[in-house]
Amino acid sequence: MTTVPFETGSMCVLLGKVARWHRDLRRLHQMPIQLLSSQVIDQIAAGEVVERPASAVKELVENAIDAGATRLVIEIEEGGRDLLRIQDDGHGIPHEELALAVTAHATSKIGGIADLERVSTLGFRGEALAAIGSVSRLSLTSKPASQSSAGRIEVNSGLIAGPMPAAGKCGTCVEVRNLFGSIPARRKFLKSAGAEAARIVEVVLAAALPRPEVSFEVTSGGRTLLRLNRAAGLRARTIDALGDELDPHLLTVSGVAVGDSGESVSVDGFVGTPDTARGSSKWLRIYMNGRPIIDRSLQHAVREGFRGLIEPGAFPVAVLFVACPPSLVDVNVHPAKTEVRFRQPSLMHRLVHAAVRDALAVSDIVPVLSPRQMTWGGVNATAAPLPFAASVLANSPAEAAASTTDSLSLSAIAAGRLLQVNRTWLVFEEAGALVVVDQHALHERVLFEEFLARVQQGDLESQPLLVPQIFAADAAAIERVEAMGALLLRLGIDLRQASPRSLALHAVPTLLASRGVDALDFAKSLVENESSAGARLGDSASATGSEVEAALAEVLDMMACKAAVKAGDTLTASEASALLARRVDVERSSRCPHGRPTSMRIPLVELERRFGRR
Amino acid sequence: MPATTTTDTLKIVCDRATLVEALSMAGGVVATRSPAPALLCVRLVAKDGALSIQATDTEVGLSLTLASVEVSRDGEALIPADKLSQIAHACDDSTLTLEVERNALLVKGAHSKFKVFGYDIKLFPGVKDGANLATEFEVSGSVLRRMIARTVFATSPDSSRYAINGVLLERKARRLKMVATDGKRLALASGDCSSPADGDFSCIVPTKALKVLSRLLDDPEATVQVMRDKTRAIFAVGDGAVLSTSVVEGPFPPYQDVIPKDPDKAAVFESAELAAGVKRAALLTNEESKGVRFSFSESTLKLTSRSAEMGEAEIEVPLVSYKGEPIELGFNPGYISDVLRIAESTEMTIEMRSPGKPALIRVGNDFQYVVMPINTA
Repeated sequence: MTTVPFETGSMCVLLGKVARWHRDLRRLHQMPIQLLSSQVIDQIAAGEVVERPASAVKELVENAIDAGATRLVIEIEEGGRDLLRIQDDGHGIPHEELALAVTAHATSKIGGIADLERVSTLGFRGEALAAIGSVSRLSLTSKPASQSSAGRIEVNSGLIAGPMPAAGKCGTCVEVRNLFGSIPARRKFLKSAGAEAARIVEVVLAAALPRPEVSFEVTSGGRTLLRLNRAAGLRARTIDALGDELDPHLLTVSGVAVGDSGESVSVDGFVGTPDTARGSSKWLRIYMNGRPIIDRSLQHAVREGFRGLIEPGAFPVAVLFVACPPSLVDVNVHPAKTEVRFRQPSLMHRLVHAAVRDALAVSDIVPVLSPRQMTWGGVNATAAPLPFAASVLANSPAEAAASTTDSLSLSAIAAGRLLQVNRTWLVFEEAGALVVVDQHALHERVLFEEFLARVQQGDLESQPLLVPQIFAADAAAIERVEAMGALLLRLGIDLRQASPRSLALHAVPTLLASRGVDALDFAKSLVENESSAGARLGDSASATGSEVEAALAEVLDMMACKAAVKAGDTLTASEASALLARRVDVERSSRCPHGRPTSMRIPLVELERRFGRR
Repeated sequence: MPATTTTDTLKIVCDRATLVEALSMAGGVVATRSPAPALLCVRLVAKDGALSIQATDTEVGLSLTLASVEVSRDGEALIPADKLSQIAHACDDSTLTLEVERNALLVKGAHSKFKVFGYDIKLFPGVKDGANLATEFEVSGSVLRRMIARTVFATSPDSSRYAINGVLLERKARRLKMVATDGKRLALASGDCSSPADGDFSCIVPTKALKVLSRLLDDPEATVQVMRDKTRAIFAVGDGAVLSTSVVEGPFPPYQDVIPKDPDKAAVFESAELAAGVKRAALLTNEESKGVRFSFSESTLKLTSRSAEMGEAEIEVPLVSYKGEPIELGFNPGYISDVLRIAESTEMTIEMRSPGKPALIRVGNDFQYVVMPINTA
């Protein structure tokens, strides 16, 4: 038996704590079960609908739009904490309906459960005004065109006063003061006035994009934060909202698909060319029946459409409007309505993916060196003059290559028509511009498309090896390879586990073997670099079509990269022109499969400008 | 060589044609690109009434002795190989005079005079001549040359597995074997040799060395003496040329396991007939679908090929004889035409078991060629 020494003082403190804990528990038990007052219910519900000033603005803007407004003016103060005022010119609320308008679950937008199936207005739950009213001082002034004067109703932390006659313009004006004044906890979580204002601008912008026929204005303390005048169409509105500089770079997207039971779904909108890609998904906006939504699957579809055209971490600029019969989508998933559930998600994914891809395929998206990007000229200004004379004198590319061991060497290909620079770039003149092509990137893209086309016809031809090539691999790599086994076989790659710590390569695609790609080297890089797509295949028990496609693209990309000419390879004149000739045949030849550009155009106008000729 | 004042004074008169040939041979050895200029040079050594021309890229070294020279003064020089070779080639004199003057070599013909700047002779790494090594075995030049031709084409020039960049040279008693593979096909050539030494011999010789060696074996009467030390193999051809090469480290694939043991089908065909047929069938293959289907049956071989963009071909090739069940398998036509081109035989046999198992082509008793069929899509 052992004795544990303890200190009397600390033991007393501990006992005191236990006693208090028991008392608290008793008090909890003493509270009887009771129905919450409607005020408390509204405040709890408000927590879901109205999280911050921006979410109140969203609800109110949606109401105004549903009321047929063509002009919305939003005034805020202190990031919306002190004041939110939304004035619209919509059809207004008749005097006798004002009281109902601020009551929970009262709405003019649906009548019964059946209507939920075909909701076409932005709002429908009948919660917004009641919820906002329960956590602020709200006043609603409205004058339908048919009524001679306006009516007003006020709600103070859920207590309704009115309706009463008031002065007001046609339409509705909602004023929200002291938002969350009665819930200090919520108010404490708000960000700075500037940050809240920015969120408000963002929700107004999001609501404005699909509605060029409505003008929007946001002011804060008298300062204009956003002004969008009525625009001629979606394109004009998109440019107004996202910035003029996008104007020359917006491609039109349009696609239609038919669902299982004959309903047609469509997507329209715009994507920016690959060189407008941004670092954040903020620029990738998707609307479903006019409602901004956040849908990972559709975002993925857009990015898949850009696969190989932008770098993996980048996000394309896109504003897409998906139209879908209400029966094919459930918008009643979340009070904020930013999430929706499609009844046929794969149909939607295919639709968006194909439409984006087509928009990119038909366009000439070679990046142009524009005056905006000054870095090129800046570097050149201090660089030593290029040894043009010396290199153009060399008769053959081989000679030129052999005679120079400098870091920069030029070889004249085809008598002045085409230059190979530093055995990396091909330079030539085309349609009023100097074009610089990265030979590896272009060949990689050309081969990638060829391989892809070949795979779509059927499995690749495979050359088994006389002796399997065995190499060490860790457990994770082996698992990835197992998960991808079927896919790799389609590509003529037979790679299997040989022992717990090694893999055996049994067969390679003939198209790699015939291009002199070392099989073992290829298999090793396949196993090492197969981190993303292969891993995803392994994670999900049943891989979806798009995941398989992504993994396939990744392996094909690697094959193309290995088989393509490298920077540093001397190309003969005929090789170089054959490669360039294929540039026009290949879809998306302006980017290599990794998304790096394959070519760059320097317009002659730009050269003239730099040489002071204009 | 004793580096002394005499190094500055080399002076010889030599037959131009012989010099051109020797320099061209040496040109096959010197490095193509190297930061060390000495590796782009040949070393000229005039001594004991002969001129020796040496070149190396440090892997392969070559020393050629030219007897048809008049040495006025012994000496040495280190001169850029390509320039000297171009000069010798461009002149039309029957003899040329070579003379060292300070740091340059004077090359004089009847009406032309060149001065080529050289490098310090001490920069040259040197070439092994195998003088102190015991001969492992001797083989006739013609046998070795044929064995090289029958194997070197099947090596894998770009492989990261260095062992199959070269050719395995193996001697057991008086039987010499050379084996080459690129992983998809394997060539095994055999020949007789004489062996003063006991014990077996085995090493992997780099492809580059064998290509140079093959050019040295012009004279079918010549005898090749093979020697080796720890890191190099040395081939002395006749009495004028010595090639030394570093041997490739690492294990060669177990080639005995690859040679099919139990084929149950065998077709005998005429090489020229099959070569023509394969050439035609290959017209409708491309980089993406290489394979030609071989359908063997009683008395005929049908070759078919198909390319999605271009079209199809069907070629019939008569067989001398066929034994076994009909079989259909795909081959890379290049792998078949390679062997038909180099085998130098009118008739050969192909032995098979199943489309997934390697096929064996036999040419006489001295050449076997194993090729793995393709899974045509």
